[in-house]
Amino acid sequence: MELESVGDLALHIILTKLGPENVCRAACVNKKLRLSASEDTVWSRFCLQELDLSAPLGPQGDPLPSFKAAYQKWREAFCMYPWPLVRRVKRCWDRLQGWLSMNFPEAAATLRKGASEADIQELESVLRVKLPLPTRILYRFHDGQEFADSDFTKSTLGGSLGIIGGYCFYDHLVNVNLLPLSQVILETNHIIRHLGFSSRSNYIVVAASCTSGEKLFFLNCRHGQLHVGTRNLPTDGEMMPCVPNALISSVHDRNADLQQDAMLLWLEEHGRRLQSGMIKLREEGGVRSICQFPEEPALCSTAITNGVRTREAKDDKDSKAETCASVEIIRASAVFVPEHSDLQDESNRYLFSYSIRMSLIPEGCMANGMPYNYCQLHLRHWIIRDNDVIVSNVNGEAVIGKFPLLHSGGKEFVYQSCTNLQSSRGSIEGAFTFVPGRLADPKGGPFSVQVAQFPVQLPDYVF
Amino acid sequence: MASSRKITLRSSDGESFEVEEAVAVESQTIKHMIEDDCADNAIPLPNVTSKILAKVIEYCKKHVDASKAEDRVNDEDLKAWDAAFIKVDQVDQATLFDLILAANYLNIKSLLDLTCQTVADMIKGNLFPVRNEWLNFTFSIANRELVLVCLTEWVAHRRLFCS
Repeated sequence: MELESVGDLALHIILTKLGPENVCRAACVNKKLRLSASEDTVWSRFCLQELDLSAPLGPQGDPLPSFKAAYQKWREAFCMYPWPLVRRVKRCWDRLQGWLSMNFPEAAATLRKGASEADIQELESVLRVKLPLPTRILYRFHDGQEFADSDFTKSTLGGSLGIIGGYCFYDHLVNVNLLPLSQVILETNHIIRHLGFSSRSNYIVVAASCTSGEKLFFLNCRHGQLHVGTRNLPTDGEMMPCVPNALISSVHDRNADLQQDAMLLWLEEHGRRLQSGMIKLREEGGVRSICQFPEEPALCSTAITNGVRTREAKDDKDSKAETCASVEIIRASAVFVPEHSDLQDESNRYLFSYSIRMSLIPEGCMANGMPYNYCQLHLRHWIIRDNDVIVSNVNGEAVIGKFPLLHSGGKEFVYQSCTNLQSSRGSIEGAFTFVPGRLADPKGGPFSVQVAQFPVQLPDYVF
Repeated sequence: MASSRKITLRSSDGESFEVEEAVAVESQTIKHMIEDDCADNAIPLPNVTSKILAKVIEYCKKHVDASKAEDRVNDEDLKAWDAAFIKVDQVDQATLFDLILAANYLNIKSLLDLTCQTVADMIKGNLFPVRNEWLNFTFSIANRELVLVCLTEWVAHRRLFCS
C-alpha cells in the first residue's frame, strides 16, 4: 500500500507536518508526491509559520506569483545563513517595524531597505573586520536609517527620529539612530584615527546620537559585544558593555545551535520595551521622539496624593469651612547616562538622569463658587540613596530653578535633572510642597505631595 | 438528549458495535447523522472494517473518558497513551493507513492528526517504505543545498529515484 492511498487531505496534513526541508526530500520520491508537495496551500502554511507572511512576498516586499515561489526566494536570498537565525532576525525587525508603523510612522519611514551581500563584503574589506552573523542578517533586512534634510529643520538641536531614541536634561540632548553601512565605514574610520585605536581594531560604530550630546555605540566584531562610549572615550577610549556578556554566543559559527550577538539582543530588548509600553513616545515642543525614561512600574514610580484642604469661607457670615479634594499624581523614573559617566571617578562614577512628571486632577472642588483649579510648587525635599545609604537629604526651593504652576486637568509638567552615584544602584524619593492657588496669592495653607521612591540603577541593557 | 444513549455502528463486514453516544459523536460524521435523525437503527459504515472500527472506538472511548471531570487524565498521560496506541511495531503500515482513511471518513480531527503525525515522523526518520522498498536517503550534498536544488530542479532528482 502506498502513501498516496491515504487521500489528498491526509497527504496535505502529513506534508504540513513534515516541514519545508522534508517536503522537498519527499518530493524527490515520485511524481504523485512531487505534485502534492507543489500545492501552494502547503507552502502558504510554511510561509505563515516560518516567516509570518500572509501574502506571497519576497524579501524586498516584492509580490510573487505563489507562496512556493516566495518561500524559495527567501531561502535563496538567505542561503548563506542558518535559517532559524534568519527567522529570528525577521521577527525582531517585524516587531520593531510594527510598533514604529503604528506609533511613529515618521521614524519607520527612515528605515532603509536591506543591504546586499556585496555591500557587507565591501564594509568588511574596507574596515578589515568580519561582522558577526546576527549583525550581518540584521543589515540584510535594513541598512540603518536615512534622514532627509527636512527631518532636521523641525527640531531645534538635531534629529528626533532615531529608532533607539534618547533623553534630554538641562542642555544635554540625546537621540540615537542606527547607522547605514556607508556611514559605519565613515564614522569608524574617523573615530579610529581620532581616538588612536589601532588600525586592526575590531570595533565599528553602529549607532550614534547626532545631537549636542555625543553618544557612540561600538560593535566589537570579534566577540559580538556592543559598547557605548563613556565620558573618557575621547581621552582613554573608555567604553561600557550594553548587553549582558553571558548571553552572547557563537557569533561566527554557522553550525552552532544558537547564535546571538549584542546587536540582536539589544534590538530585541528594545522592541520588547516599546511593545510593552515600558518606553514610549514623548512630545516636546511639537516634536515627537522615543523617550528612554521608563513609564511603567517597577522602574517608574507613581504617587497619588489626595489633598483635602479646608478653607474658611471668609465672605460668608456663618464662616462655614469648605473642603475640597484634589489629586496630585507624580510619576518618576531614571535613566542611566553612560556618555557622561566616568568609570575612573571613584566617588561619582555613574551619572543618571531622572524625569519627574506632575499633574493635578480635579475632584470636584469648589469654594465660593470658584474652583481650586491650580496650585504652585514651592519647596522640594529630596532623599538620594546610594547602595541603601543616604547620601543626600536636601530641602530647597523650586525644581530646576522653576516654580511650576499646575492647572487642574491640564497637561503634565515634566522636568529632568540628574545625579551621580558611586555604586551601581540607589534610589530617590522625596516630597514637594505646594500651595493652592499661586505663591503670590495662595488660597490656603501649603500641602505636601509625595514623590514615591524610584530605583536608580545600572541597567542590564544600556541604550 | 439522553446522555447514556447507546448507538449501534455497523462495519463494512457486518459486525455491530454498541457505543455510548458521547463516544460516537467524537466522529463529526456520525454526529451529523444523529442530528439529522438517521441513527434510529444501526449506522452503517461501509468504508470501515471491523478491525479498524474496533481501534477507532478504542481511541474515541479513551479520549472521551479522559475529558470527564472525575477521571481527569492529564495531557502528558493522554499523549503517552496515544503514542502507545499508534506505536509502529504494534500497528503495521496497512493498519496505519486504514486508520487515516477511517479518521478522514469519520471526521475525527484528533485521530487524523495523530495518524498523520506518525506518518510524517516515519518519513522524517527515513523509515518509510515506498513501493515496497525501504528508502534510505543518503545525501552526499549538504542539506541546505539540497533544499535549493529540490526547489529549483525537481527533475534532476527523478534520475536518482525512479518515479
